Amino acid sequence: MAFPSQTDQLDQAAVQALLDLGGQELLRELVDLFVADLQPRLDELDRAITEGDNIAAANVAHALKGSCLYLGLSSLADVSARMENSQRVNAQQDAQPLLAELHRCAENATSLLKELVSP
Amino acid sequence: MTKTAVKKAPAKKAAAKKKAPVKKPRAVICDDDAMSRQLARSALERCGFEVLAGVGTALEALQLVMTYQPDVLMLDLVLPAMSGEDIVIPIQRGAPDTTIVISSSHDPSAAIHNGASYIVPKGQTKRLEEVLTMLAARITG
Repeated sequence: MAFPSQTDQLDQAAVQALLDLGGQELLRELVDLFVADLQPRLDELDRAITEGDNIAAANVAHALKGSCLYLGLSSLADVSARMENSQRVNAQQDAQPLLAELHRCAENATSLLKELVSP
Repeated sequence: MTKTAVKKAPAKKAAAKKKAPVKKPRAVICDDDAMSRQLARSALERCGFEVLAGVGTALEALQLVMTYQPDVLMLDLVLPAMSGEDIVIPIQRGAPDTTIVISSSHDPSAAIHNGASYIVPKGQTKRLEEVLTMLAARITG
């Protein structure tokens, strides 16, 4: 298995730990589950922020962060953590810039994961 | 005849002992993230556990644990409606032999205070395997 070229955003130790646990089959399964859930999560986050539902936004960001940590998606995990924190602590702050950054990171993460599990 | 009977008895006992299946430790998973549930299932099975169920809410987990009294509950903290922290004390009381392993990227202080036994932050797959391996060995003796 070849690690994607943009390795600065992928924690190789985290990916290797998954490979050690269940091999390529488990990694592919986890990536499929993550990718399938990603767009609905982003949609829910967009909705929650638009409607000012800070608790829902924080919870979605929190769940996203957890998945990212397992898959070694450091950048997306970091942005998700900042989003969660901003929604819990400083809910009045304009979330749009961070939301745009999160969308960019999510798109990049999807590319990285597809490259990671491509045959 | 008596001598023969006496000699045969230990052999029968030994055979019965040899055939007795090793009972796997049992676990329940509670996490609202499907990917995290799948990862937990893989880790538990690799470490010798039988996974009874994986559920996405604390209420479902509470009901399952009270009914089946598993050896281990792997529990996320941030869950829809009722949180993972909310069921730690009821489980301690109703299923005192169930070991609670918190698997979360949320601050686990309250869960620890309430009696959760182990904390494995999300993303630490190796650490999760270590804890589950140790628990499986302890449970199966």
